Formats: sequence, C-alpha cells, structure tokens
Amino acid sequence: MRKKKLKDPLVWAGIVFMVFLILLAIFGPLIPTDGKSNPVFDNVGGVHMPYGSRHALLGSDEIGRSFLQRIAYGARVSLFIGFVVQSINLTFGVFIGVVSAFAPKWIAVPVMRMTDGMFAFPDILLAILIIGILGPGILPVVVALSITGWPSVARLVKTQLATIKEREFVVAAKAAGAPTSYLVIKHLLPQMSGILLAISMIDLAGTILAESTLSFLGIGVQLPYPSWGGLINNARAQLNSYPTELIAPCLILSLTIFSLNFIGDGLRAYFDPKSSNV
Amino acid sequence: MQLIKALTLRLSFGVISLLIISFITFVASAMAKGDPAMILAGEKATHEQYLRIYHQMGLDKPVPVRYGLYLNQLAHGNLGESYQGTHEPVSDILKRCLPMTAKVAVLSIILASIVGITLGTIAAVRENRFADRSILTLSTLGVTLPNFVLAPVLVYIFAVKLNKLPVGWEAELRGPEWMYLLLPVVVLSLRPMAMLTRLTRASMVETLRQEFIRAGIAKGVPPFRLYTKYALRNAILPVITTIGTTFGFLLTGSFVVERFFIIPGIGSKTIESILSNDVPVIQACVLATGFMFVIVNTLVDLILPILDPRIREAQI
Repeated sequence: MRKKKLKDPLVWAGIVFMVFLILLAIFGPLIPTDGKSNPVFDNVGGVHMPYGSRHALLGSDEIGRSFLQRIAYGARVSLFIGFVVQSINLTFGVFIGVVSAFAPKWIAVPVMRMTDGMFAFPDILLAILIIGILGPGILPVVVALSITGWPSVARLVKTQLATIKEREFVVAAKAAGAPTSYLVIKHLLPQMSGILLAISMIDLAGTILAESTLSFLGIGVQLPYPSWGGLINNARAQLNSYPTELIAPCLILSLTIFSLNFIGDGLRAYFDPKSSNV
Repeated sequence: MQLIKALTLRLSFGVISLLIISFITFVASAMAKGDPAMILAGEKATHEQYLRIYHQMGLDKPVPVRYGLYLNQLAHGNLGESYQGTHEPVSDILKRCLPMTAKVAVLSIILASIVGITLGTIAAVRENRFADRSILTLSTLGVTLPNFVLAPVLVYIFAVKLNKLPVGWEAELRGPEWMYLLLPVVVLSLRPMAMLTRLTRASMVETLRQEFIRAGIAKGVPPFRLYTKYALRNAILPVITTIGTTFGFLLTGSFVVERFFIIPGIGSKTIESILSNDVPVIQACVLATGFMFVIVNTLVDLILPILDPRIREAQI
C-alpha cells in the first residue's frame, strides 16, 4: 500500500475552497433577502445597495439584485457546466484513448489522426464557431466545450496505456487468456484512475474558465441568468460608478481556478511523481 | 537537401491544416440556421427571384461540389456579403479588422518573448534562490489568472484612478495610438509571457547542468557571455516551438481583450456577428483567425530545422 500522505498545504487549501464553493452553490440561493423583489432575475424598480447592506452582504447591482445571490447562482452554473462537460470529456476521451491503443490499425490510425487534427484548431475558436452556429446559451456552451475538450484526455489515456500495456502483470494476465475488455476494465483503467482524477481537476478549471470567458464575451450564459463571466462584464460597464462590484466575481473566479489547479497539480505529483515537474 | 525535404514536409502540413480549417468552417456555416438565399433575396422577393438566387449561389448542388465552389471563391478573395446593414462584402470587413488584431497580437508576442525569455533565464541562473522563487510564483499566477480579471484591475488603476491611459478604444483617438494599445498588449501578453518564462527556466536549468557549461566556467568565460551565448542558444529551441503554441492562447485572449477595450479587430467583429447571427461574417472571422494560427505555427516549424540541424535529421 501507499505510505506517502497527501500533505501539500495548497492542495488542502484548494479542497477547502471547493467544498465552500459547492456549499455556496447549494445553499447560497436560500440566503434570505428583503423578499420584496426578485434578487436574481429581472428586478424592476430596485435600487443600488452598497457593501454590507442587511439584505445584500456583498452589495447589489444598480437595480438591486444581491451580488452574493448572483454569485451563488453563478457557482451553480459554472459547477454544473464544468461537471457535465468534464464527465462527457472523460467518458469519450477514455473510450477513444482505449480504442486507439487496442483497436486494429485500420481503426486506430484514423482515430488518432482525427484526435491530432483536433489539436490543430485552437479550442476557443472552435467553441466560438459552434456557438456561432447554435446561437448563445447554456446548452451550446456545453456542446462546444465537450467537442473541444475530449482530445487531450484521449491523448493522455493513449500514452499512459502504451506504457502500462507492456508491464509484467498485464502481459501475465494476457498470457493467462484474459480478453482485452477484461484487461482494460480490471487492470488498466484502475491503474490510471489517479492520474485521470488529477487531470480532470485541471481540465475542470479550464472548462470553468472557458465558460466564464464565453459568458464574459456575451455569447455564453445569457442575461438575466447570472454567471461569473456575465457579472464581470456587467461590472466593467459600471467601472466608473461602482468599481467595487468587480471584486467579488473576479475573486471567486480566480480562487476557483487556482484551487482546482492546486488540487490537480498536487494529485498529479502524488499519483505520478515522475512527471510532476513538467 | 535534407533541409529542403524537411521544409516541404512542414509546409505541406500547414496547407493540410488550412484545408481542414476551411472545411470545418464550411460545414459549420452549411449547418447554420437560416436560408442564405432567402436572406440575400430579401423579404419582398418573388418566388422566381428567390429560386434564381438559390441557383446562383449553388445551393441546389451537392455538398462536396459546394465545398469546391466555396474554395474557389475563397481563392478569389470572395467571402460573400454580410447579412446586416449595407451588406458590406466580408472581405472588406476583414481588410479593416485583420491588421488591428495582427498588430495587437504581434506586439504582445514580442513583449511576451522578450520579457519571458529574460525572466526565465534569470530564474534558471538563480535556481532555488529568492529571485527564482518569486519569478516562479508570479508566473504560476500569470498562467492561471484569467485576462478578463486582470484587464479591469489594470484599467481601474491606470485609467480610472490615475487617469493616465484611456479606458478603451474611441472612434476619434485623442492622443498617440500607443497609449490605446499599451494596456491591451500588456494584458494579452501576460499568459504567453508566464508560459514562456516557465519553459525557458526549465530548459535553461537542464542546459546549465551540461558538461560544456562546466567547461566554459573552467575556461574562464565571463558569466554573461556564458549564459547568453553558450547556454541560451541551446536552451531556446523548445521555447521557440512553444511561441507557436502560445499564439493559440493569444488568439483566445484577443477575443476578450478586443471586446474589453473595444478594439475594432477580428475578435470584436466575431462576437458582434454571433450576436446578430451574421453567418458569413462568423465564418470568415473564424477562418481568418484559424489561418493566422496555422501560419504562425507553420513559420515556427519552418524556422526550427534551419536553426537546429538535429531536428533536420530527425524529421525524415
């Protein structure tokens, strides 16, 4: 068994922050407000509230929508899109990776070429093209980020499999007559689960950042539904009058990205010490 | 001979990538909502007029033939007309926007390379000392910090508080152009800069451990000359390869930066056209951005074998 402990403080700081974020996403929308107006969506006739107001701890925007609540809803959007996209990417990426490592050449080679071809096209550009065709919204963002995200997982799985495939225990299992599907599910994927978890954390940060970027550009999650990117874009317009509006959404987005990267890097160093210094 | 072979190979990869990108944008726009013939004919057109335009645009032909027609039009510089406003030819829009984006991108990549390579070298020379630690921490921040977080902070400090620089682009520039370009270029270059810093450092640390460096020290080569002429020349090759890859990140950033600073470039135009569902403009903008990416990467690929004989031999 592994004796080494995961003791990098940054990893634990990241985990603590992510737990906080998930709690905020679940319970944030339940925070009481003045009850008169809708704090999240359209709010006609509201007024701006400063930081520390009774009904809006982080203040509100110019029409009285509480920032704390909007950020909590934004966390829901970001985490939802992040987890959905990441699950699709992992499933599809692992499948393609396994296929290109084990399938006969006439299948594996075209599949690998296609994966390489996806790298020739900058991710965000493809995502923008897809959204340009489908129109802005949450679903197009999920589709766009899923289509652009799987190749990196597939490539990682393929290179990892190439080295594990030659190890003695796999060769022994093969010699004992184990079919390929059994080999992959029982021996190879469990070997890779750690490193896959680590990479997923880093990719999750990338997905959340991409979603915020698209929302910031105005082609992701659409107003009035709150998203972090949208909040930052909105605060930019108010930069002269209420500069403090920028602080909360920028901070929470940056901290999320940092935390996920710290967790991912720490886990990678833990599961795969050799490649940790790249 | 070897060199020519390597260069041809890389050049043909570039051409294939361009074809792939043109194919993807073609398929995407063919799948887009709305009938282009209907939009071009206008609402008042009779059915006959509509059918004539439909035929003229080649929409009645099978998809592979249409792709051929599209490539032919592309080679003649004809990218169709915008759906919006005065139906301006898309090629004119590109002619107007492309130089702006290229200027910001090139300035950023130059700034990122100069600062990144310098900081990376300093960090490697002072490995594990204070300077190295601080440069590493800063570059970690630089890689992960989203540029639409950095941009408002810088704008707030330099434009709103200190009132030294303009907040964003204006139709009539009040003052020299560099003032308007300074903040966008700095914001855009941050991420590539951090990536190049980390890479230069890693590559230099490796190089500085090699025998010929020790020989150089023993021979009494002055430190500056040793680091620049001996070590950096060897360490810089992977860095140059990465400049091509970072250009992709730069393009991502240019959408954000152009939109943030209201710079009239391809990035702003793309978003604008998506919001107004202007398919020909979306298609052309994505195509132009993709082409820039491929051309820069192909140039980097072409430079490498000229610089390094080892790559020349490995590529056969």
